[in-house]
Amino acid sequence: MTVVTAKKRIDSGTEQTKLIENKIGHVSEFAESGSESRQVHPFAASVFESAGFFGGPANMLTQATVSVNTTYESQHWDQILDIGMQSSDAGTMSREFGETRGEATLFNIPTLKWPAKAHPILTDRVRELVQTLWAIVVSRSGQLGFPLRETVVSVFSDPVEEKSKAVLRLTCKANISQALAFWDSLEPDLQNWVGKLSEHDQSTFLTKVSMRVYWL
Amino acid sequence: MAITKSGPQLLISDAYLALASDIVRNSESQEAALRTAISRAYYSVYLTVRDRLFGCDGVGLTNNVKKKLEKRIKQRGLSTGSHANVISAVALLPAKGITTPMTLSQQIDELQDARIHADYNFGIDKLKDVPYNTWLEYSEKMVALASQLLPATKRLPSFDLDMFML
Repeated sequence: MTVVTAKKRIDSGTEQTKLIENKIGHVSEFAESGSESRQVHPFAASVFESAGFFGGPANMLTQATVSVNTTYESQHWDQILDIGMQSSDAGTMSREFGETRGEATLFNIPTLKWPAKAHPILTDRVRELVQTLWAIVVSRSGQLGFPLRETVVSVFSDPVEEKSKAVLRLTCKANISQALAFWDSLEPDLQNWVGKLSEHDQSTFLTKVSMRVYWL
Repeated sequence: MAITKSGPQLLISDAYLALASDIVRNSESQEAALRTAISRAYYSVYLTVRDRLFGCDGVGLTNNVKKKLEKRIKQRGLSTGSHANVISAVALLPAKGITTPMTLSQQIDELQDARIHADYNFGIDKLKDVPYNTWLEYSEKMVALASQLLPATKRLPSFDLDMFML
């Protein structure tokens, strides 16, 4: 496992505090001191936030650590960061992190796997909502050190109600009590995020997106 | 079995779960029995939720209440339907009634998905999205899930239309 570490250049600039205020799922940008603002996908931002990269007391702001399951230069890392970003941005991000890599591990981030076949329920908006839900989940699992092993999206069809929904399925290496405790721990983030969605997105999320946790 | 005025359905829910547990513990149980165990496990939880919220046999879920509840559920974008109404109602509970309404609702939903798989889907490919390889494993997990959820569902508050309208 390769560990990628980024040392944060501390600055109490407004762009950074904006990210903290916006919280997970509502982050649109961040900026380091002396650099230009750039768009960052909520997933990447949430990972950094969870790692203390942007938030927390000043003495915790000196370092953020993100680990991935493969080599730093490989496509895997780019894939993770490439979710909502241009590939050139991802490359820039990777190079920045690469300069200071090599310490502790905070995250084991499973990639988000999508079904191979297209499905009418998997609209662009539903995909975006699932992606943000996933970001919330992996962010929380990182904070708690929860052993999340796999994150898969599939479509569940109910033959009785004749309804379909996109389901984010999480598989973890834990016992049932730990799995349910982790699931319950997501409640504040979910309530907070869903509460901030537009009425239309709220409706889309609640009717077309669901989450399941499986324990091995 | 003795039936009390206060909650006969709750006793039957316990009995359903006990039956499901017996089935998964029995090494001779075949697929049909294991599917039945999942179904009983789901109903033990579902009926408990319904009766806690709406009274024995869901008597409080009158047409008038159902109409208002469905309106509220639709406003929140949640699913309607006889079972979905009850499960969605959990998600609408205010924080003072239960600490994790949204995730509890999802957890009950996971049981319902399993029950749909068990009762309606005969092709093994339907289970490809679930990380359990056999009906024995799947039924063990879902019965365990029901066992964990049942105590929490027994503490759900009684239905109060005003509470849901907050």
